[in-house]
Amino acid sequence: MAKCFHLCIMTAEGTLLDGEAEYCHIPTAAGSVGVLADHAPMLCAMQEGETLCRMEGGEEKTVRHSAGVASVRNNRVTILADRAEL
Amino acid sequence: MANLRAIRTRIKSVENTRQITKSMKMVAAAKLRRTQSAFASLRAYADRSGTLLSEASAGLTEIANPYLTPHAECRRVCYVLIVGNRGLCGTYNQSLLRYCEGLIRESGEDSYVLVCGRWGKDLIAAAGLQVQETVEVSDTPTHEEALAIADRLKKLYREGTVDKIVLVYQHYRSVLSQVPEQAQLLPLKRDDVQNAEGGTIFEPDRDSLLNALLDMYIGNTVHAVLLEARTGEHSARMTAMTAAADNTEELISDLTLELNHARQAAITTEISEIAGGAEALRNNTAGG
Repeated sequence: MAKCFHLCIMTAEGTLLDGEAEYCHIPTAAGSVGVLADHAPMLCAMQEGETLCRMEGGEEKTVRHSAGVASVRNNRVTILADRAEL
Repeated sequence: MANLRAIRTRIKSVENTRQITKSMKMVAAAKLRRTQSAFASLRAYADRSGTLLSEASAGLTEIANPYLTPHAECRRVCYVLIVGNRGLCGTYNQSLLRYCEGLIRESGEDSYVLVCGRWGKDLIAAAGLQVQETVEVSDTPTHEEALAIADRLKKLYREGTVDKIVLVYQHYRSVLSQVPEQAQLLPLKRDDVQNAEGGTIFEPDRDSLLNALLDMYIGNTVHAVLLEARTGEHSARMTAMTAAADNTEELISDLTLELNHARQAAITTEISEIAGGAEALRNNTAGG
């Protein structure tokens, strides 16, 4: 089984997703970025679009969101967007 | 007897008032809970974006962002007056209006007033404030509403219509206490930056990331202040309505007492009339 990292998707109205994930695919202003566990620290400006998350155990979730910011640090990925839905 | 009827009518009308104030209290309490929980989720989000902002700006001395740079000259100040949507909440609105008037008088600069909320258009106009715009804000402001207001304010600042933006609102201390307060929104004040943690990758580049984070920060600040003001409004209304409901209870018990007195007096009069009449009749028969 692939190594996991903590994934948290937050909006102003509350936390949308909070759990362990194997992989996620974030749309940034300069193109898509794929994140696996042990990724180097990164901050990126996200564009409006869809983030694909493969959760622990292989379940895939797609989150539609507005523009926002994603942070990757110490195996914790936090995605902040003003609006988001599963 | 007329007196009795008058008191009964009065009791009935006070009972109606009690019903109204009680339901208003319930409504305010429900709205207060909703606003408080919205405030809690926003706080988590705002804290996180604040941390990211200081991470992203760590170690930078200059940030080229229009909202961080003060205008060369401060000629016109925009006051965002966040009043309630309704009255019947004690001195919540009035004291805020007085405070805002005071601020404008003291500063002496040209002012541009933007009112958020439905309360007292006439009163605000009568106070002599130069209201340029009025924005409607719901009882539990959503993030969309806050972002719309933030966008409007950013535009005012960017285009140079105003040189400083101050939010004027009732700071929420507790359910029982709200204090008028001002907070400068733009230009942003930069907090002391923490030490940079090296090696962070910025996508696509640091500047656009900072711009995104600053936009987010401004939106969050506006939303937080709106929610705080509304929390205060609902709790002020709840307190005022609790007091009003208590007063009606007191009034009803006073009136009931008065009613009983009057009824007793009426009965006594009636009995003495009957007794007097009977006595007169007996005297008549005895004499005849």
